Amino acid sequence: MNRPHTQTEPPAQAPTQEHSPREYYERLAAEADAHMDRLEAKEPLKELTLETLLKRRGVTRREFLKMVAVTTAALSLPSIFDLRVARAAELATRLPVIWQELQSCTGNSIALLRNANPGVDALLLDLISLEYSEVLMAPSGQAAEDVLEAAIERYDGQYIAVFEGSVPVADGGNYLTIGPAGHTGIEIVEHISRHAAAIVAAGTCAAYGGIPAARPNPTAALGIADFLNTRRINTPVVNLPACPVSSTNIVGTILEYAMFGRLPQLDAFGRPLWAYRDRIHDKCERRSHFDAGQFVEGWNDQEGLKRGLCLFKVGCKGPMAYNNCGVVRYNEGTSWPIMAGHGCIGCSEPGFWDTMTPFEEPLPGRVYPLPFGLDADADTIGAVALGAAAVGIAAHAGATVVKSALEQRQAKQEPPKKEQ
Amino acid sequence: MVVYVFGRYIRIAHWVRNGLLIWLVLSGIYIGNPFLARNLASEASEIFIMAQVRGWHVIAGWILLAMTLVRIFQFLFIRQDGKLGLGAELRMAPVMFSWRAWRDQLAFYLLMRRDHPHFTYSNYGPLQYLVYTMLYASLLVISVTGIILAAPYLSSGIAVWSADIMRPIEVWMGGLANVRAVHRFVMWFFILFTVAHIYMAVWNSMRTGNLLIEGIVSGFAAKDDDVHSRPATDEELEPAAKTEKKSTPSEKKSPNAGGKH
Repeated sequence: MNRPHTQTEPPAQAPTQEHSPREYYERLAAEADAHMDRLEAKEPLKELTLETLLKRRGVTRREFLKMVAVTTAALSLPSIFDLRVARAAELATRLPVIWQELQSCTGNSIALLRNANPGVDALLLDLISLEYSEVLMAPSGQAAEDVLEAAIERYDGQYIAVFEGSVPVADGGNYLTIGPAGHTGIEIVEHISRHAAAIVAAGTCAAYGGIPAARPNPTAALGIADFLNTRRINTPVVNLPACPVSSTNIVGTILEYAMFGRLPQLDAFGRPLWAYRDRIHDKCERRSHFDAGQFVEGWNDQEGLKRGLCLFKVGCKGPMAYNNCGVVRYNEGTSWPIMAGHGCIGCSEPGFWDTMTPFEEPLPGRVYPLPFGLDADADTIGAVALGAAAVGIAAHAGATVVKSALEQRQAKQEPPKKEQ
Repeated sequence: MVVYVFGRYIRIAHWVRNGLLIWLVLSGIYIGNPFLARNLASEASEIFIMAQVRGWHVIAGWILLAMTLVRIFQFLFIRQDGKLGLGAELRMAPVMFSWRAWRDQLAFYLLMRRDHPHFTYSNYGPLQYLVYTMLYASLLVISVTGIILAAPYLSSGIAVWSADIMRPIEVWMGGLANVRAVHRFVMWFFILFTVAHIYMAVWNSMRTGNLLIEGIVSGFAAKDDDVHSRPATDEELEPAAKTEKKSTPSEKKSPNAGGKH
């Protein structure tokens, strides 16, 4: 906590000068225990226990505890919370969740589900009481709509709404309609959000509009938080941007909510600080090559690529992007883009796509839209302005020379006037 | 006759700023897209080329910001007599809103009038006033964006807490990538300003003989009333050479001395 961002929601007991870290975490642990006791008193929403699930999916206790330890560490919590995170996973069956797809590619669900092994992270999808999810549920059509309505009614003000994808608002929202009644994305998000306890915007599209919101944004796509602002709906939103968001960050957020019953500390862009405090650049394994000025010069630079030099010159946007990819990695911690040899594309930043393209050139290569199809990057714009200035200067200097010559000829012909 | 127009601090500050800007632009281009050849003979743990360029870029930026703040303070709060109050230069702002001043100034630059217009209430012409105001505003913008960009590299210190205060600006701009883009565009403004500034100063100095270029080195420029409306002739240059020693005033020869339009 040495470098706090602007907080949108200060924690109940922020560490202050009076509290030692030990005292702080003990209070935090007591808070978690109290909340989980309350949660445990509730009826489980499904007849599934963690134990049977682990057995059914062939996940060993060891693998499960590894996931718990990773999640605890990712949440920036000390190891006294390991067992509490495990307990939160157990109690997640009491947490109603509605997972709503919007204008999206379902990539975030897929990232969570499509692990090589029977995914430990995907366990959570079985554990939480997922009341509605187009990707996973069996019902379709009117039956699916009925499930959604029933869930909203039954868990009014208690459920977590996870949104995936942006909300298109152009043309009255007609760019996105779901279900037999043809509800627009606008109606769906308004309806679900009004009755939710908290909202998780999973993925960059849900958080900031993402790819659908890239210029020229024909559907007028908005991120969930921006959309709710326009509708004056005050349900708290946690943004989990990235394309796709890593499973650790989704699992961590949901387990954290199960553990404390409140949203985490957020940064200025609504992202949990435990995941988005540092930039990709700050946790990058190639960082020493950046500081040393040793860069991969291009995609033909075999030596540079083999030696694992910094990818900044082939367009890495790590210095501009906040996320914890380098720490938690993707596909069960197997790898992540920079490890695989391609620079970060800054997918977890607001304005992603427009602000981060071209992906394989440093940022000065960004092309800005100009009228008459004269799109150009900053340096071209600057150089053209400089050229125009040079032409102007040459013209002005030339004109001055001619004018001075004329004036001197005139001065020779006429005696200088005494008065003007 | 020459008069002392640029004090010691102004002249030193002018050239220090000039040096800082050159370094900041060169190092900034390197930071944006590193152009120096890499050194693969050494281990990454032994060399710190980017770190050093970045470090000195940031240090130069802080010095420039400090000088900018001093200058802005002087602009806003130092009166003609050197005491605190409503700044003398701030009081000259009406020149920017005078239609007449703009007409005279532009006519002079467009070679439609021979004598340099000058304004009893302002040291600056309207164009000059506008451009210098923009210059200092841009210096603030590039400093603010620079601090926001520098802060994530540091764990504590002035950059970190000032970036925390300026977080709303970062959010308003839409993240570090856009902050960086603004930083880049303002750099181009400085490059353009420098080119235009050098041309205008040289042109003015030659066209009016007001010794402006000499002034920013020596501190002495021609007195307003002595500014000739034509290039200095050989005879005029002779006595002018003597006036380098303050004591001997040059032969007063001013066809337009009284005729300030």
